[in-house]
Amino acid sequence: MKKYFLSLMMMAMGSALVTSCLSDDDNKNKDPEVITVTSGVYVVNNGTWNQNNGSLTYFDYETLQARQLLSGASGLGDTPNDAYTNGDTIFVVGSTENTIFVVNKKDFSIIKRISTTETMGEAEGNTPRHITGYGDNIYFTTYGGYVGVIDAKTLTMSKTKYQVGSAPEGLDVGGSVSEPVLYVANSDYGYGNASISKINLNSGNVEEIKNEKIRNPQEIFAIGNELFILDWGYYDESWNQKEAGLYFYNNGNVTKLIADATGMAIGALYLYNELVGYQFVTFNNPYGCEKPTYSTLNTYTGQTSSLVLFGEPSGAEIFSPAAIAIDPISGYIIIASRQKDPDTGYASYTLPGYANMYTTNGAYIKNTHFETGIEPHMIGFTFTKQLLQQ
Amino acid sequence: MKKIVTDMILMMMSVGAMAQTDTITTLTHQLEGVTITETLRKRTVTSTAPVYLLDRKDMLTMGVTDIADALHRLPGITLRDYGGAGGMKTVSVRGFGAKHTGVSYDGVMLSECQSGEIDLSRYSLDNVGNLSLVIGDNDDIFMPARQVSTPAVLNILTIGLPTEDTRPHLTTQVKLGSFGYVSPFIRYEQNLSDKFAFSAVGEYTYAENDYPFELYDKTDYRTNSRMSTGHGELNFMWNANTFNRWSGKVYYYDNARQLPGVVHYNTNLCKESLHDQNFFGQLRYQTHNRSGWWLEWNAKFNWHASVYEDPLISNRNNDASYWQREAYTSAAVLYAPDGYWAFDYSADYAFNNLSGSSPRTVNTRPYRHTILQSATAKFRNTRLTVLGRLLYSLYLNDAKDGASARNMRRLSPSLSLSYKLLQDYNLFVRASYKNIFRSPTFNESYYFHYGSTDLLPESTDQYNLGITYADKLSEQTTFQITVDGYYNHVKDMIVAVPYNMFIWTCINVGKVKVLGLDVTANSQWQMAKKQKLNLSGSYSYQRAENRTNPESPFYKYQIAYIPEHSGSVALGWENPWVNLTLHGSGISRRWANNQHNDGSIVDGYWDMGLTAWHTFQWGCQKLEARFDLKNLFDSHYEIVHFYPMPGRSWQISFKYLI
Repeated sequence: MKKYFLSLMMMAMGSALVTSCLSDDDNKNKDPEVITVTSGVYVVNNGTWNQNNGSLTYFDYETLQARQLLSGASGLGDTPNDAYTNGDTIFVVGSTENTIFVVNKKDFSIIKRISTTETMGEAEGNTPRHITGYGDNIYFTTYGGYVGVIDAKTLTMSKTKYQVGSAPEGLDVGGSVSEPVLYVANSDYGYGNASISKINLNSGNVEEIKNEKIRNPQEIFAIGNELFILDWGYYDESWNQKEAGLYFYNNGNVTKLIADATGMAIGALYLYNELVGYQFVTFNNPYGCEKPTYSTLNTYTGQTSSLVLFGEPSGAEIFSPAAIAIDPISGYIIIASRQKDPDTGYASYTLPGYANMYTTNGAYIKNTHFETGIEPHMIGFTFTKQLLQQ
Repeated sequence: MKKIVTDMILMMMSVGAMAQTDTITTLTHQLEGVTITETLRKRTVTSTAPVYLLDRKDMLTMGVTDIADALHRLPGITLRDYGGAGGMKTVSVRGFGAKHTGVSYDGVMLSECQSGEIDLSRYSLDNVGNLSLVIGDNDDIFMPARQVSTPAVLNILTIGLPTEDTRPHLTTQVKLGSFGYVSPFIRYEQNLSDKFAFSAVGEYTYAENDYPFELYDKTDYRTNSRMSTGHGELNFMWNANTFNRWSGKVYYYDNARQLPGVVHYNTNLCKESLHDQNFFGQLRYQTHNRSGWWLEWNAKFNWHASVYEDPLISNRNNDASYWQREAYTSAAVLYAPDGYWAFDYSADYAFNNLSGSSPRTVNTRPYRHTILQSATAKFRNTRLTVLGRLLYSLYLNDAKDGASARNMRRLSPSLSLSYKLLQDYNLFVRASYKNIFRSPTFNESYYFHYGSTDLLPESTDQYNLGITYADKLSEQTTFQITVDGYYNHVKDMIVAVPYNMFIWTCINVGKVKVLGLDVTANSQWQMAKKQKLNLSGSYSYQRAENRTNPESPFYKYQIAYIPEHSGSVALGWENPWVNLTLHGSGISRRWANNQHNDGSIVDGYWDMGLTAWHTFQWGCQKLEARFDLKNLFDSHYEIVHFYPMPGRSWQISFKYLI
């Protein structure tokens, strides 16, 4: 029963983690001397809004060099927002482009551009936001208030679409193998009508979960039918950030796990090669704070603690965190930051950003500082198989 | 002596007042038998600070097709044009932002308290008598204080009243063009008596604006770009007697347009729309006596509604409506005791408020009382003109439902002079200095999670040194040239910065220095009887540098969207058959941001056009037929990054006058 539960959790994990789990699954019936390792990290960069300068940055673990890719209007265009690695392809969400870009993981060429509005409809497929995968399907949310479906094998849009709540953002698959459920965080742009949509992927039924503590959910991570929700809360009239944080949802009850968080990453915790829980790392950078703060949550021990980053080269410290992820193989933390605008002293949304890698205790890993595109927004990983050295 | 005094007074009239000076001139002719020698045209040479003029004759002979084209012909102007007939067009002058450019309509400044930028696309040229750009303070002193409260003023002067007889006069026109453009126009005017004249104007424009554009290897068409706009005006003028005159205007404008947005490679889906409505009424009273005292009083009420909609956003969360209102009055007193000295005192009061429909826009119902007072002294003899002015500005801010922006008060000096170097030649040098500031707009102060009530005003200093010359080179040839170098400085520039991804705010941080040169030249050659060649051109150099932080790697970088080089040229041949004008304008490359990132270069362009026209006349009836070929060489270019401009297109118009 425990084994079944763990495999269920693996399937229900977030995109980066699912990649690693899928990779692990792939290894099950293969030569045990072949292992999966992370070959690199990619960063999806929004670019500056309306400037058609979104891009992808790829940082190669072997060369420790970063490449800026797919920039410009004929690349990822305006505001690529999220990505999902599926086998040899990366599905990149072109938010303002109303397009899902299918990118070859090896050479980063665009294999196909899938319009989200042609099949779903202009209103329904407008502004895709976040993406995940399960089985042979790729699922993405749209600001039209829908979840669209792409067949990952044929790279075509399915006619199936699910109506969800207002301004949906992050999504994740949970439930069970026999009854998979797609959970969607409906932010309502923070206007107050937020909810979580629960889509039964077998029946297609959609339920709406509402709770007064769910105000502006942005990211969601499902383990079975238990949810970890990153909620941005709201800002009061004096611009004080209120109620942002990492929340836990279980059977109608919502509890706050980490107060004041606006970004999160998830990593798996193993004990003697057995998955025992998850490590959450969050950042918070509200108005008025002089320095961003970081927190960790260990679901195995139940402990939360603050994380202090240290050891970066001078000038390479994280100034304004914009994206965070945990390498599912190594457990390293990657944080992308906006650059400080030298004229205003504030974070720049027009200058290229940068990223650093850290160990789980916050120590900077040498030679892992690299430049990203403008406004780094999401971090993903690529993997390769290697022969295990005896 | 009386002649000189009258001349001087008329020369001191504001450019705004010049809109309707014809009547005064006529009146003065009739009553006092003097000859008015000074013209607005001549003022472009004699003025103490730069004045550039395009009158109706210029617009025709230079092949000017619309307001954007007209602005491209003026030096020092950077036009932000989002493309097509319906695209928003704002104008900045000599490196100052568009919020620093005032726009006056028949002598009274237009108000835009929300964004601070006047969209010039709403003004067609069909009812415009002339356009002039005044930079700094020139030697017009009899004007409202608000007219001198900006570094530069674009004056739009409609066709003045009255006509020379009491017959009804009718002008009808229809224009047709590429991309579904159709625009009928009608104007009726009549002197009902020797004292009262009125006119009524109506125009309508519809355009699909679905022009093709290229983006990398792809050709597409602009979508969601339709516009439907109309404008109506009623004007009157009542000369009660020799010394008293009333004039007024009622204006309504309505524009329902789709907003095409930035072009994208993968989608052209956009459903945004904007509906603007503007009503204003303005009244003017002018009086003078024989002792050299003149009084002008203006009053205006302005109402502007703006409705933005985006049906693609769920729950229509981005939809927003705004309403702004203004009550304005101004009194100006001019005293010209002799032929040398003149003094003006002007006092203006304005009340502005703004309300919005959405809680995430401007929702605190801000309002502002503005009191402006200017005192001006001017000395002029046959060769020297010197003008000094002090402007006292008081801005009292408050909001009904929230915190208010700071109150502001400033004393702003300006000084300018012009000197005729040689007694017998129209060769002038001119120098001027002006210090002025702009108060933050309501958006900058109050917009939800963007504005800041702590903002200071943005201050500007401008220095100009120029030389001008105009003369007849021969019986057949006239020539005029103006060359002005300038240095401008902006401090406490208001810049929007992000606190984080959710919240932006405005702060005073930027500094900009601008070094520039404006050159204009024109010449006319009467090559044969009824044949004339007109050649005119302008060139501008603007080095507008970011001087905010010497430690920044972007220090001294050219400011976004300011081209280093820009210019225009027009060659016209007037003849008895078909008049022809070949014209062009262009600018050098620019950057879309102050950091000059990769991909932020906006290429320069040169846009040529050809105009042909002929006027048929039968007695008192005239028919003017005109054909314009725009963007002759089908140049694909952008003025604002990813807002492509139309390629080659045509326009034909027929104007019938009786």
